[in-house]
Amino acid sequence: MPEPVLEVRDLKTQFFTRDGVVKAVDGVSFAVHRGEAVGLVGESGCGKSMTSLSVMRLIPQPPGKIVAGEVLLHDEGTAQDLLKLDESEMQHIRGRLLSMIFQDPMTSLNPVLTIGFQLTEPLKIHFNMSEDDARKRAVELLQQVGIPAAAERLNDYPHQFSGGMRQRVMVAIALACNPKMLIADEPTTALDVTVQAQLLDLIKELNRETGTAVLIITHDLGVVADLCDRVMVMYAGQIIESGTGDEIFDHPQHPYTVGLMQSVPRLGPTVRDPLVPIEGMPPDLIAPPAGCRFRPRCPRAIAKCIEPPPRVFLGGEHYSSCWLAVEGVEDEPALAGERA
Amino acid sequence: MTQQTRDARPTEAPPSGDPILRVQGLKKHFPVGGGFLRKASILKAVDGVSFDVYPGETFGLVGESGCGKSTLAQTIVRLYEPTAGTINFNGNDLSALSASRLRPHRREIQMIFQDPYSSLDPRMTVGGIVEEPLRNYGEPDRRERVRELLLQVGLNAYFVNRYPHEFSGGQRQRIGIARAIALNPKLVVCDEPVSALDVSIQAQVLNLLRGLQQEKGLTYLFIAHNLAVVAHISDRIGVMYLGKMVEVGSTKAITTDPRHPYTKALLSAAPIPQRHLRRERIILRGEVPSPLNPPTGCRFHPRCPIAADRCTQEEPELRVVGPGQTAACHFA
Ligand SMILES: Nc1ncnc2c1ncn2[C@@H]1O[C@H](COP(=O)(O)OP(=O)(O)OP(=O)(O)O)[C@@H](O)[C@H]1O
Ligand SMILES: Nc1ncnc2c1ncn2[C@@H]1O[C@H](COP(=O)(O)OP(=O)(O)OP(=O)(O)O)[C@@H](O)[C@H]1O
Ligand code: SF4
Ligand SMILES: [Mg+2]
Ligand SMILES: [Mg+2]
Repeated sequence: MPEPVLEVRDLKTQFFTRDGVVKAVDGVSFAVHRGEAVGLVGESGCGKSMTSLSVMRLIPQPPGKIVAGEVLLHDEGTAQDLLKLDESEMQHIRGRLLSMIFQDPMTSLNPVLTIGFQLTEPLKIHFNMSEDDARKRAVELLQQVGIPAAAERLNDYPHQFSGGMRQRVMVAIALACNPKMLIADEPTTALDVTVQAQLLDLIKELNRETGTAVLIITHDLGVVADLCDRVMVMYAGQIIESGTGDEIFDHPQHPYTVGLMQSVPRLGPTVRDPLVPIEGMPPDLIAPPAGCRFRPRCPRAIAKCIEPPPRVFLGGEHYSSCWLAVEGVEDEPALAGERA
Repeated sequence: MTQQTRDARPTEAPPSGDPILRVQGLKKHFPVGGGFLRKASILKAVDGVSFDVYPGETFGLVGESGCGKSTLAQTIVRLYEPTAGTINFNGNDLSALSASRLRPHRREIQMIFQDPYSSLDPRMTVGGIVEEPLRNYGEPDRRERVRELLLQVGLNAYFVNRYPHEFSGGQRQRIGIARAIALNPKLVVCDEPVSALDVSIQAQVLNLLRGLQQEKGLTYLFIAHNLAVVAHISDRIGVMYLGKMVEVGSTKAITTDPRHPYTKALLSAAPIPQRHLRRERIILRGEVPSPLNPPTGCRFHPRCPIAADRCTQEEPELRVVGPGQTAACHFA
């Protein structure tokens, strides 16, 4: 496997609220390698965005705080822990080595600055480019993301672009400095499917051509199946299963992953087959269930599940945090009457 | 909750008998941007749509944001006054009826909305929300009915005194469904009822809608932008683009043999969570144009991979392309 670009180790991010401490990210570890596209999937509120904002050091503090862990960014043979950097050092990393595309382009595009300014500014700051060179590169970038008549549009403001075009401008800005690592948090949720397909194609192409490592955050298993080499499934603040696309889609182990897959209608001959929903709702992250956090909703839970399940390696790159993956445990008694 | 909700009806057969709903040439235009000394322009949100819905079936409507799905739905339930066209429901033209003559028909057509957060009155209790339509029509035994309805949608009867904000999105959607079925309607118009829900909750609500349909013989007009969701629940599907219906057919025809290039692109762009079904995508150029200023000829021509000269001039009509399948494309 090529060298890692980003390594996250035992990351914990919490929110201190009146009702208690929200354990939004609770011991998350993973790595993304050069040229790799990794998907982070899970339902609303499971901690996907807080994981990515922790990596970017953009957690609003207070009420949030990164309370433990390491976020190692590798560059030219050395690794630095982003959690140890101060804000000015972080600003030098953001946009240059590490870029992020957000779900809502209007939150990260500045409405009162032209697209041209927002594209050229980082080039001038990080690479000391002249105004002319930066504008040339900006036009190139806009062309690359499929904005027609790019040179004429440099002086336009974000509101003069449609939703899909804004999203593409964001990609252009995120890629301006050839980052090593691109994080895309639900980059296509607000887009129509045909425009979504354009954008995902674009991200994939850049990932292949420039070797930029990509972390795609989404709740859409379909997007991940199409795009990602590796998939991580998150539930209640933790990664509960991870593996290559084929491992996860063809041999899911964790009952939550299986449940997610059985919940979505699939286009094809089986599209009208009944869905098997996961009963109940995700837990409150102030007081998550003891042991396996999926236990109250799990159709296969056993007595052992009251203890936290170990991370079980299943060969290849596949692991799962579930007691049923532990050899010899299958014969334990079912957890009758436990389910709420 | 699982096996028995399997739909036994063959989905390929074209429907027979009389439609319960026949929409013909329906238009809804909005004047926009008018003001002092400025002429309003006309936004043609729905611009000549015709289709039939048969008793007991689910007719799905798909299309991308802004193509006019919600406007069409709201015009059919007469929340909007149609600009032109007819809405024939069980033999009565709703578009021609006065408010008082409309009232008895209105109870037979109910609607479920997309946003489970804003569609319920936050000051009313759950019981009050579900009871309201019963009260409007002076129905007897309302307390008992409300309890029954809550149970039918999988909610606890003791929720009656609680307020919407105490519930999750999926639970609120169930409250909206209980209210919509309270008067035993014949037709339920569901406008993106699961789009705001997480996938595990979405599956719960889809199963509930299917179960209720079988129990009560409901007819659904089901709107969503997610083709897989629409295909899952629908017997037949209509595909909309920029205020027009571009293709209608059985779920099987639309998902295995689409004839309109837009339907083909929509199908190929839908992300599928199965690796072995990954396929070549048709990537369309550009984005959906504004309905304020739709392209000439075929509205799809600027993005169409097979557009020819003719398409820029001549607007294609829906025509039969297969058994029970129609498409509006010169080359379909
Ligand atoms: N400012 C905050 N105060 C308190 N809790 C917060 C705050 N921001 C986020 N959280 C909590 O952190 C948890 C993780 O949220 P996060 O935004 O990472 O979820 P997500 O997986 O990105 O969900 P979505 O798919 O809806 O974007 C949630 O339970 C959320 O309620
Ligand atoms: N009351 C209104 N006044 C003016 N324009 C309107 C009004 N309601 C809708 N429109 C416009 O009509 C067009 C169709 O909107 P509509 O809400 O029906 O689309 P939709 O297919 O439901 O989209 P979505 O998938 O985003 O819900 C859009 O361009 C919209 O801006
Ligand atoms: S550990 Fe137990 S409760 Fe958790 S997913 Fe596995 S079987 Fe279900
Ligand atoms: Mg998020
Ligand atoms: Mg709508």
